[in-house]
Amino acid sequence: MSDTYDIQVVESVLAGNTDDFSKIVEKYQDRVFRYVFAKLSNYDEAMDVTQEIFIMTLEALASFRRESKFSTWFFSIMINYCKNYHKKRGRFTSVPLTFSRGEEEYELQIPDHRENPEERVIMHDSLRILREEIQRLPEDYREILVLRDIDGLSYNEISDILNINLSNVKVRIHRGREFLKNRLHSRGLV
Amino acid sequence: MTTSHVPFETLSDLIDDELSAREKELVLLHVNECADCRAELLRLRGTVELCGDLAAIRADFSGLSRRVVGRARFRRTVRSFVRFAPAAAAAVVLISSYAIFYDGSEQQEADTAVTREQERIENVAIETPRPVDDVEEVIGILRDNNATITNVSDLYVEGKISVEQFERLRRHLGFRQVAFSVTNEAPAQGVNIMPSYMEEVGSDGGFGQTAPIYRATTGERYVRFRVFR
Repeated sequence: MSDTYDIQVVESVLAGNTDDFSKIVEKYQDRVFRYVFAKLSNYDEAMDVTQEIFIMTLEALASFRRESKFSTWFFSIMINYCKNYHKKRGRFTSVPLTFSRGEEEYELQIPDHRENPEERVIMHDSLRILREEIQRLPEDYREILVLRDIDGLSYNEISDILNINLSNVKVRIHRGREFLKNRLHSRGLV
Repeated sequence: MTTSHVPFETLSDLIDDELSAREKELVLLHVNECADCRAELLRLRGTVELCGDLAAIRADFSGLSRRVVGRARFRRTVRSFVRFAPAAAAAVVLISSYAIFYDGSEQQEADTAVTREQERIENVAIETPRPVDDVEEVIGILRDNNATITNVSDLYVEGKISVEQFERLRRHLGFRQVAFSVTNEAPAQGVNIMPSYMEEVGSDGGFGQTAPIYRATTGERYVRFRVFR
């Protein structure tokens, strides 16, 4: 499904067929979720953010100028949303898990027994370690490695989305991979 | 290429198939002879392949597109209301003022006091438009999170939810003020939402009494909450 398909869907949505936007959601939901999940490492939160990114995109659709591919414009929204979300994130962690009563302090335990798809897939420790190490990558490297090695975008797509030149893309990918490889090697994973 | 080790960047380019045919041949020749470079290439390939495994995560997207479109429509409706509410209020003011003056040729003097009072109220209404109550949005969020709504009052929306789902609900409620307590009572219709051990947690007043906190240790656990309007 090409950019032509995306444009057709966008035009249909802008013409009033809002339900057609579900085609965009279904086409990109995997990629968006993978990117967000790699950033947040929390299944539910990643799902919420994924939903919010699509809503924002739908609301902003009229501002799509078609100067770039739809996917490039859309992934830019995704990346910017995640950046802003990271900034605001602290303010959202508002569930008080500890409280005191006199001298004693209690902790409200919220066990998570859900058997979600993430848990079903991540059966091996290696993926858990990989996620930990991706989280520890410097932001520039983490972002570009997720786009390249997890989301599978091309160098050119990454260059357009991040608005950096191709050689810079390559340099960041090489350095990010080297960083990650060394970390995984030190933990006996590769 | 055969005497010194292959730079990491070149190995990375090899993985991405970014080398020319000639460069690729030279690198592979060297890697075949050099144990260090071979080991490094295997480590790099292992790293990239592991990232690929992470891409295999499949989330449950059922209902996502429906939720996206539905939520966007709802927000658009709310925004439209917010946009047109002042205009509607102004129209009401004009119509009612017109009616008062038109009807008042003979009773004008008698109605002057009423008109002034009307204008005063209308001016206040224009200057301080009532904020849009987001109770519908709150109820939508509660429903999306499978919470049981037990009461809707002028002050709050009250409900119950399992402990496991509460954290997510709290996040969805964003900056709204929420008070809650934990209990091991299963949600049931007709159960008083305010048991004796209801506790104020995470609120700045007005919710429950300061009874000793009840901490469920066995059985199922639920959270009772109030989202203030």
